[in-house]
Parts: sequence; C-alpha cells; structure tokens
Amino acid sequence: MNASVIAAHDLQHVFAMRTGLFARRPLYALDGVSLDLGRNETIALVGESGSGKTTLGRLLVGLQTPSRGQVTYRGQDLAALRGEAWRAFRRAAQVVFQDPAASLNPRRSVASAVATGLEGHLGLRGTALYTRVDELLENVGMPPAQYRDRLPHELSGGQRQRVAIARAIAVDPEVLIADEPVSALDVSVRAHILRLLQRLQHERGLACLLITHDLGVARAIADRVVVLYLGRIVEQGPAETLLDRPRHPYTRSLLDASPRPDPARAREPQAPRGEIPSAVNRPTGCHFHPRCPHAVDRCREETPNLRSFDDGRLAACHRAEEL
Amino acid sequence: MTGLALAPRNTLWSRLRRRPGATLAMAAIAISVLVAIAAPLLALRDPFSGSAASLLPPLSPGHPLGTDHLGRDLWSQLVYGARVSLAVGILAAASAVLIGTAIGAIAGYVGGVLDNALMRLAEFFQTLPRFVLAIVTIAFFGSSVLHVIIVIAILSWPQTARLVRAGVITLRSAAFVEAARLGGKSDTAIVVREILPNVIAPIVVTGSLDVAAAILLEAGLGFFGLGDPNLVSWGGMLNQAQQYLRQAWWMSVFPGLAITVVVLAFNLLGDALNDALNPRLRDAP
Amino acid sequence: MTEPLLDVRDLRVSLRRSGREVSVVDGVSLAIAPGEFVGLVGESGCGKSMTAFGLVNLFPTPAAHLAGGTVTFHGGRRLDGLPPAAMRRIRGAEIGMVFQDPNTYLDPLLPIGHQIAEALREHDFAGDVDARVLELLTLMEIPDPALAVRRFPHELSGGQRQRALIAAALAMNPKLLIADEPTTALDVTIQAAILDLLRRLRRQLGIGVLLITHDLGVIAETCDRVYVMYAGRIVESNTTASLFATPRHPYSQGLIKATLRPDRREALFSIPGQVPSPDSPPAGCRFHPRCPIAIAKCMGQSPELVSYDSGSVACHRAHDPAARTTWSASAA
Ligand SMILES: Nc1ncnc2c1ncn2[C@@H]1O[C@H](COP(=O)(O)OP(=O)(O)OP(=O)(O)O)[C@@H](O)[C@H]1O
Ligand SMILES: Nc1ncnc2c1ncn2[C@@H]1O[C@H](COP(=O)(O)OP(=O)(O)O)[C@@H](O)[C@H]1O
Ligand code: SF4
Ligand code: SF4
Ligand SMILES: [Mg+2]
Ligand SMILES: [Mg+2]
Repeated sequence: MNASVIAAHDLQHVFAMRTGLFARRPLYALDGVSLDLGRNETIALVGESGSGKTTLGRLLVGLQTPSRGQVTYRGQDLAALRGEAWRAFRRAAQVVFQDPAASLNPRRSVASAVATGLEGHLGLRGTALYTRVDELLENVGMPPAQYRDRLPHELSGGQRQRVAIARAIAVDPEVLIADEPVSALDVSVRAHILRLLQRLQHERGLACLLITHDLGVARAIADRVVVLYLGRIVEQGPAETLLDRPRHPYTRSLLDASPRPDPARAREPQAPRGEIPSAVNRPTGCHFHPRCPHAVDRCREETPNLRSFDDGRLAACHRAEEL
Repeated sequence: MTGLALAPRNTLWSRLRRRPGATLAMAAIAISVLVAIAAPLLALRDPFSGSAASLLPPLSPGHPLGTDHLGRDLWSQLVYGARVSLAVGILAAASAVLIGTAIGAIAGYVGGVLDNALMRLAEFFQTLPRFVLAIVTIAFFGSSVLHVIIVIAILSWPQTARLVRAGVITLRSAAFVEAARLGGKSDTAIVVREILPNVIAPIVVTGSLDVAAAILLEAGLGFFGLGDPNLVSWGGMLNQAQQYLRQAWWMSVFPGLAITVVVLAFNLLGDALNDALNPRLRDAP
Repeated sequence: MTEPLLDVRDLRVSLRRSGREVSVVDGVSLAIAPGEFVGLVGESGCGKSMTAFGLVNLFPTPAAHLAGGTVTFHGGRRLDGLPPAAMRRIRGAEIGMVFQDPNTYLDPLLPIGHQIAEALREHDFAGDVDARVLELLTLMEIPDPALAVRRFPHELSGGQRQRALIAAALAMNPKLLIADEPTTALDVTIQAAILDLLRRLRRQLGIGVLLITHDLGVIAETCDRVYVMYAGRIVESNTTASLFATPRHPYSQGLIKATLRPDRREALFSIPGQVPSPDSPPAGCRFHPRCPIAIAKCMGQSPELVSYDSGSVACHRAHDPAARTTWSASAA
C-alpha cells in the first residue's frame, strides 16, 4: 500500500443527545476507528444510516474535532496545525457532499460555486479565475458557455453533482471525501459521475474516501472496502474478496439486503433481523449480536477486536474463522 | 430535480403581482414617493406662508384642500409633509434593518456567550415602551428629524436581528456554507456572500413593516408637538388640527388619510412580501 | 384479471409553459389489481412522478393539469374530474402517497413525532394519535421510538429522517399506496426493510402498491409486474420475471445493464444521451436518438404498444433477433 496521506487513529466521537427536557446522554457516533487513506486509492466506507460514515468523513477533513484520538495529515496531528499549515490542509482535503441540491448556494451561479476555493485558497481573480473555472467545468463535462451562469435550480441532479465535484477538485486536493455522491442520482447518471470520479482519482492520484450505502457502487470503483457498524469498523479488506466472501455476518447481511436485477432471488426476506440499535443504547459485547444469526453467549459479553486474516482482511467477529 | 428547468417564470415580481393587495400597496407607495420627490412642483404655494384666507374649506379657489387656521394651503403642506414622513420612515427603517442585520448575523454566526448577550440586549430594547421612550429622548435632546430617525432606528432593530439570527443559525451548518469554509473563505465572506443573501426574505419583510411603524411613530410625535418645528409633517398638521376639529374637519382628515394610506400600504406590502418570499407557499397550487 | 383496483386509460398530463401546452405524460395506460405490486420504472424526467400526480389529480405546480384519460378506482369510481373535496378524502384514507424529495416536507423547527401526528390529525384519525405515532415509528424501525418522537430533524441521520416521513404516509392504512422513489435516499438495509414492509402490507392487508423507481434492482425484488416508461410513454410492460429474462425494448435492456450489482464488478455502463425535454420530443420513436439499433422507420413513425405473450412492447424492431442484445457491442 502507498504511504498514507490522511489517517485516523483510534477516533472516538461523542454527541450529546437530548433525551428529555434537560437530560442529555452521550451518543457514540464513532468509537475506536483507525483508518489509513493512501495516495491513488479509493476506499469505500459502507454501513447503514447512522453508523457514523459522515461523521468519520467530517473528522477526517477537520470540519469537526474528534472527542478522542487524532487525525493525521502526512503524519502531523490536525489538532496541532496552525496558520499556514492549517490552510494548506484545508486546501488539501475537499468534500463532495451527499445532497447536491443542499451543497450549492441557491442564489449563486455555477461559476461562482466552482470559483469558491480558487478565490479562497488560491486568491485567483479576474481573467485567471474565469479561465480556470471554464477549464474545470469543461473537465467535468459541462460546456462552460452553456452552464457558467446558471443557478443551481436550473440544473439536473447529476449536473449539480458535477458542479460540486468541479468545486472540490478546483484547488488540487490530495484527499477527496465523497459523501454518497451518487445516491441522490438516477441509476443511469450514476455511472457518469462514478466514471468522472474514477478518472479524476487516477489522473490526480487522489486519496479518495467514497462514502456509500450501496455495495454496487463500492464494487464498481473501490479498491478497499471498510464496513462500519454503530461507530466501529467491523470488517475491512480488498473490495473483491470482501464482497465475494464476507467474513463478518454484518457484511453478509448488507450484501443480502442489496437489491440486484435478478427477480429469481426476490422472495426471500432480505432485511437483516431486528432493529438498528440506537447509538445511545449500544448493545453490550459485539454491537451486532441482537441482529446476528450466529450470536453465541460470548458475543453478548465480550467485544470482538478487529483481527487480521491472511487474505489481507480485518474482521471483528468472534466466529470469523468458523463461518 | 428535473422539473425545475421547465418551471414557469416564478419571480418575486410575478408572484407579488398576483396578489391584488400588493399591487395596490405598491401603487400607493409609488405615488406617495413621487409626490414627495416632486413636492416643489406640486405645491401651489409656500406651505409656511399664511394668508388672511384662514380656515377655507376644501375646493376653495386656489386651495383644493382648503387652508388652515393661519391661512396656509393644506395641499401644499400635505405634499411637503410627505417628504418628512417618508424620509423618516424609510431612513429609520433602513438604519434599523442595517443594525439588526449586523447584530443578528454576528449573534447567529458566532453563537455562544456573545449571542446570549446580544439577544438579551435585543430583548431589553423590545420591552421598552417605544413611544414613551421616544418622547423622553426628544424632550431631552431636542426635536429634530435626525433625532427622530435615530430614536426610531434604535427602537426597531431587535425584530430584524432576531429573524436574521434565526436564519443564520439554520444556514451556518448548511452544506453549501461548509463547502465555502473548505474553500478557504473567510467568516465575513461566508456571512455576507453565502448566508445573508438567503435570509433576505425576513429582512425585506420586517424592513417594510418597520417603515410603516416608523411613519406612525413620527406622526405620533408630531401630533404631540414633538416633531421638528422647522418642517411640515403630517403629524404636525394633526397637532394643529386638534383645536379646530369642529370648525375645520379638513385640517385633520387629509393628513390623517395620508398617514393611514401610506402606513397601510407598507403593512400590506410587508404581508405580501412575506407570502411571496415564503418558499413553502411559493409553489403551492 | 379480476376487477382492477386502479384502471388508468390513456392518461395525459400537460404543463402550461409560456402560453404553450407541453405534454409530459402522453397516453399512459396501466392497471393495478387488488394486492398487486406494480412497478413503474424509467430515468428521471420520464414523467413517472407526473403520472403519479395525475392519478390523484394533485400536482406540485399549478402549471400542471390532466389533459385526458380516465382513472377508475376501486368500486368503479372515476377519479378524474372528481371534485377536490371528494378527492382529498380518498387521497387521505384510501390512497396513501409517499412522494419523492421528502426533505421539503419536514419542518426543521418541529420534533418529528409532532409532524407525524399532524399528518394523522389532518386525516381525522380516530384513535390515540400518540400511540399510533409510536407504533409507526416502531414499524419504521427507528431506534428508541419513544425518544425519537421528540427529536428534531437535524438530530436524525438522513435515513432516519426519511423513515419518519414514510411513517406519516402509511399512517392511515390505505388500500392503494403510490410510492414515488420511497427508498431512493435510504440505505440498503432500510430499503430492504421498507420493501419487506410493503410486501407484508400487501400480503396482510391486500394493499395494492404502485412503486415508482429508477432502480431496476428494487423492481426485481418486489414487483409482480413492471411498466417501463420513457419520455412520457410506456415503452414496455411485462411480468417482472419475463422482463428481466427477455427485455424486448432497447431502453429496458439499457436500464438493466446500467444497474450496479454488488455481486460482480462490471464495466460502468450508462445509456448515452439523455431524456429529451418534453418541449421538443423527438419525432417517431422518442428513444431513437439514443438507440443504437434505430432504423429509418424509427425516425418517422411512432411505434405502437403491441401485446405479445404476457407483455407488450413499443419498438419497431422488437421481433428482430438482433434487438435482443442491443447494447452488447457498444458497451462502454
Ligand atoms: N449534530 C448531531 N447531533 C447529535 N447527533 C448527531 C449529530 N450528527 C450525527 N449525529 C448522530 O451520530 C450518529 C452517526 O451519524 P452520521 O451522520 O455520521 O451517520 P451516517 O453513517 O453518515 O448515516 P447516513 O447514511 O444516514 O448519512 C447517528 O446516530 C446520528 O443520529
Ligand atoms: N414542478 C414542475 N414544474 C414544471 N415542470 C415539471 C415539474 N415537475 C416535473 N416537471 C417536468 O415534467 C416532466 C416529467 O417529470 P417527472 O414526472 O418528475 O419525471 P420522473 O418522475 O420520471 O423523474 C419533466 O420534463 C419535468 O421537467
Ligand atoms: S461476534 Fe458474535 S454476534 Fe458479533 S458478528 Fe460475530 S458471531 Fe455475530
Ligand atoms: S423503435 Fe427503433 S428507435 Fe425505438 S427503440 Fe425500437 S429500434 Fe430503437
Ligand atoms: Mg451520512
Ligand atoms: Mg420523479
């Protein structure tokens, strides 16, 4: 693997959740997460809603500060970055947000969205700025003459996401966090956007964290897959082997729940059993045990550690070998 | 996500025009502003110069609205009075909106202790009895248009501040604001260029209601004889009319009508803007 | 088929735009039997949502309106041309709706429990509203429903927010559920759970479902029959099994090929070009500018929807063996 550009070390992030008028309880959005993101690599971060994917993404780019643990950028702790060093990092790590409609200011044109970082980080003005904006629009497949002056509501969802991508890559980032970049889009537009991300990632050697709940998307462009469950990594490994032969029962149930264009498979119940536990009330031991078809007594008491296996995978399950 | 390119023209202007009240209000405001601007042309004589023809009724030759107890032409007074009323209304409201927007934006964006302090301050100003305070201030500092404007502005900003603060709080964590932050934009640039344009609606609405309130307050001060003695104002005209209610109804009716129409117009416009700018109602069938 | 729950013939929806009538749904016919699970699939902009709005005569914009066709609901009642008050009663209780883009329906300043309760009161729910809200949140598998009732939208994750809205739509136990992209923004397990739930409701209550989606994976998992829609028209319909086994229309074939699969890595495929704007639909077969096997006839003459076996298809080359593998050469 490449040298890591950005890494998470034993991150924990706690929100205070209102449980009554005055009562607040800790909500563990992330707990003991470590992750390495290297140059020229796409990691798919998968997991259910509320598993902490977005939170991890936000901690990695410094939009939020972890409650515990550290994020390092080229080996330096983010918390220690100041002044120029912090600005350099801010420029190096960019985000494509989940909802393309919400991530563009409804009152500002396509060009000014793309210009955001060029003005803010690179201080470009005037002709230099316009030329660069046009190049970027061209690069994401939006003819500038036609789209430059449009407002977000005059674009389709796919086009909005292209603009958001152009804005993110404008400042030549090293790290790109794409939070569900295609889940708000049509199946047929998804391939366009994913191909665009894939191309940019190769061209620029980006370290790319692709947050998705769609294993089909992960399969299509990820090198590695990281599976998150209630704030913890439960399995991690190369995309192919992990999705072909999941080691963790949770990964398997995610796979079972994923739709595929195959009516023959249809009538089996696909949803994993039981409810998603709340991050306020996490089950003891293995967090997955109330929903796990293979749970044994030990699972209720003892939290499984993330262990490595010889096929390059990590999994946190007591019974990973037998299953 | 696909529909919008095809959406019918749905500008603020076209939405406003669909409301009959708004059209009327805008017409009334436009006319009164024109009258105020063109006062020297429209006035028939010097509003201050009296004559022997005192208390002439309306439709007297040369005095379409009659004259007052000193023989001054009411029409000319009314026309010049529009200048004072509108100037006070608009300038006071504009200052209130500026102060309120700045304070609300800072409170909402910075949050924490500063937010708390600023909002306590806003509360304090809102609980003050406006009219009494205006009277006390004028009595203390003397009566001039500038003082009136300042007093009204100081009393009116909290409304705007609250609304702007609420808007800023919802938007400061919006994805497009975070994108601007990642883009290296300064906090000032984020507030001014990204957030404020999206909270323009409450600003415009309260601004328009503020104008109405300011005109009314100014007229009230004038009515109690606290207006600028060197200028004709509608309130001042009413003040003079008090003693002649029986002999000369026209002295009170015309300025009273002018105040009512203009205040109502700004209120109507405020309401219509509120509806027209509300995104929930915007696409309602 | 027994008497259908919903029978739609030649439905037309137009939009008034700068004085011109633009047709966005152009003669759609479809039927749903009681308890049947029917899919309507197509890319965004094809008119799926407008078809759904047309069925209940409720449009998000005053510019849209019914321009023809009949809609017959349970018991032979005609829905087209029903007075608004009567239509509202049916919409509330007998036809439930989950529409696309539910985020605009959530008030950021109100707790979600409050908002679901509002939906119940709007339809005069006779019963314990609070208990029902709790039951619905539980049904939607929202963690800690008793606490969730009091949470504000921004305190929920994206998926949890969507589930709250679906709870509101299912609140009145409708006979027919029109679900427009109900799971598009949800993650897979919730999607699977919602689809399970819809299947269960259908089985237990005999509820009919019209599921609108652009994801053929979702259709395959749930629907008995499918209608494929392109540019305001139905281009193919069949039982789900036959459609996936032998898609006849090049558009259906392209959609299937574009669907991402978690079980194998395939080259990313998308149908070239895009859905035409309804302002200027292409002449002849509306798909011809994107169709790799178009022939001269396709540009001049619009293909009729022709029945065969269990389905029907509108393509001049439907019976040409070459048209079975439209995209094999041009995979890219
Ligand atoms: N600002 C916040 N205040 C309180 N709780 C929060 C906040 N943001 C997130 N959470 C909680 O933290 C947990 C993780 O949330 P996060 O948004 O990271 O999930 P996610 O995996 O991205 O989910 P989704 O797929 O729905 O986007 C959830 O339980 C969520 O409710
Ligand atoms: N609110 C709207 N105003 C104007 N046009 C609309 C609106 N909603 C949809 N349309 C147009 O109607 C056509 C059909 O759209 P829609 O039914 O939403 O498609 P789908 O649901 O298949 O994505 C599209 O061309 C779209 O642009
Ligand atoms: S540790 Fe036990 S409960 Fe957890 S996934 Fe493994 S078998 Fe299931
Ligand atoms: S009718 Fe012609 S253009 Fe249309 S789908 Fe069939 S072959 Fe293609
Ligand atoms: Mg998320
Ligand atoms: Mg739609």
